[in-house]
Amino acid sequence: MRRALMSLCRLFLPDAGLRRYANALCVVVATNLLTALVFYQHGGGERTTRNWVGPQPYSSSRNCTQLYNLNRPDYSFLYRASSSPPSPSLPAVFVITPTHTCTTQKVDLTSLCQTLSLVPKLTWIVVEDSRTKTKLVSHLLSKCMVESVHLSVATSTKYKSSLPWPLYRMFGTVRGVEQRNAGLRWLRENYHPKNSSGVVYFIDDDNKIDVRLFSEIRKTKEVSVFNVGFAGGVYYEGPVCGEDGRVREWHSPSAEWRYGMDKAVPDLYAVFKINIVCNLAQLKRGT
Amino acid sequence: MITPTYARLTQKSDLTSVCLTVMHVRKLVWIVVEDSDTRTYLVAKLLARCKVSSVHLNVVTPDYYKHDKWKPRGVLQRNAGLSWIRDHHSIDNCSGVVYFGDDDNSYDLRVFEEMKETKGVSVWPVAFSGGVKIEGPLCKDGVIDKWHSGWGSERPFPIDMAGFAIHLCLLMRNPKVLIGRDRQNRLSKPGYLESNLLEQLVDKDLLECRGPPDEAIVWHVKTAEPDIPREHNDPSDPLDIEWEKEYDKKAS
Repeated sequence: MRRALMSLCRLFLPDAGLRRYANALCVVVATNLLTALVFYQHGGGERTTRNWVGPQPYSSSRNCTQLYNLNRPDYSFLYRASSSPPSPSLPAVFVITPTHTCTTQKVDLTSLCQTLSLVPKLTWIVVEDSRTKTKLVSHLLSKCMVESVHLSVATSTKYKSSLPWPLYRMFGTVRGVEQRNAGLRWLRENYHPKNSSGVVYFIDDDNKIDVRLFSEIRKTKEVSVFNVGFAGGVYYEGPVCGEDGRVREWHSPSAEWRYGMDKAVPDLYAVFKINIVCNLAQLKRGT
Repeated sequence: MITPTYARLTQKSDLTSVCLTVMHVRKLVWIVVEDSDTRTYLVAKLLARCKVSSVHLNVVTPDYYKHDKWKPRGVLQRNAGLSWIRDHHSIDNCSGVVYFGDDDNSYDLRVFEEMKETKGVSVWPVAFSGGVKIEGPLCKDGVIDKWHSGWGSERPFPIDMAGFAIHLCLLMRNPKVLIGRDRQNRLSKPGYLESNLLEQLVDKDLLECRGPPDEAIVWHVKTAEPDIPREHNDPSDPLDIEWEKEYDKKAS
């Protein structure tokens, strides 16, 4: 059909340029005619043969629905207020979260609160990027079942960038530095390591966490590192663990060895020691 | 609670966060309906691990809808959930509330407390949907003051799928009511799924408006597609599945 149209064009349009244009037109016309024909064959209009509402059988056989057993061991370390309190030898976990006022602040903190309240012996240190403690965050923390500490530190000008978003992400400085340091400072003043051991972990409010992470973190002796999903521009970024529990190599797109904010440091005096113990690689999703 | 889901990068993280939220709620049955031809290992493992009574179903949305102007998203899956509920309950034994919760939303636990008191259909506003900060009915002393929406305010019920809950008896009494068809049994237009469902079940005056005033308890936070420009591998690599198996071996 296309060739017929082309020959017709050659008859009526001796000019090559016009012919090329007409050639393109012919292709368009031909395809449209073809689709019109197909449409006509299928009846066009309302597609009566396609039923996208259903109901369709919801699995291969109607008997195959299962209610899962609640006795799985994976989440068995979780407890709620009604069950027995955790053993005193269990290392405490301190989670430091910097936050700032934005549209999704309430959502992120709420979902974090719900996740963290499932973990025993956890203290949540929320550090706001503002001069005073905002009502929103204090109200949220008062309703939350997690034992929490509310601090507020305004970012000083040396860390602020005058560029708007998203330029400051590319050319500006890191966010949340002073807030995290304030959290560490609070811990150093208020925590006595003689009582029990503890682990410090930095979480951003926009990340999503699986609760199994915390049982892994508690085993930390010095520094433990693990994989983070969707960080660094790849599916997961983090250490590749050897069999002895040490880091064999780093799975990271950048050539140099890059730390993320995703480490757990046990005692407050052990900051970035040389031995890095790599526990079981646990996938943590970051959004 | 019916949750349709489909395979994507953020599926595991979204389902995990919903699972950890829903663990706090008593007497909840979580019906997860996958858009795939088999029940995937990923979701099955997640639900087995999750301490919530869950039901795992799967229905495929056929491929030929991919080229339509508007692909029906989650319609077949939600209807499958509804038919499961109808199969396992009867009109005499119909205490309960049905809620359509997507896996990419965030829920405050107060949603579940509010919807437990539903007698017919209860509604509340949803944040970040419809192009505005809060979409849905604005309540005043339990009565709907006005409907706020950024898009489609001519709809009879300008509300998001996560903004209403239906009592089970209503659905049992109207066994043919499904998502995707309106009163005259025509197919729904895009964006009218919720309206067409609710107009078949209840009048606008009989809606129960719940939720704290001037506050949102459900956030329609569409999980952002992860920014991974440096990844060149095929996204269908089952990374999680291998690690789950390794974790199982080490745990046992």
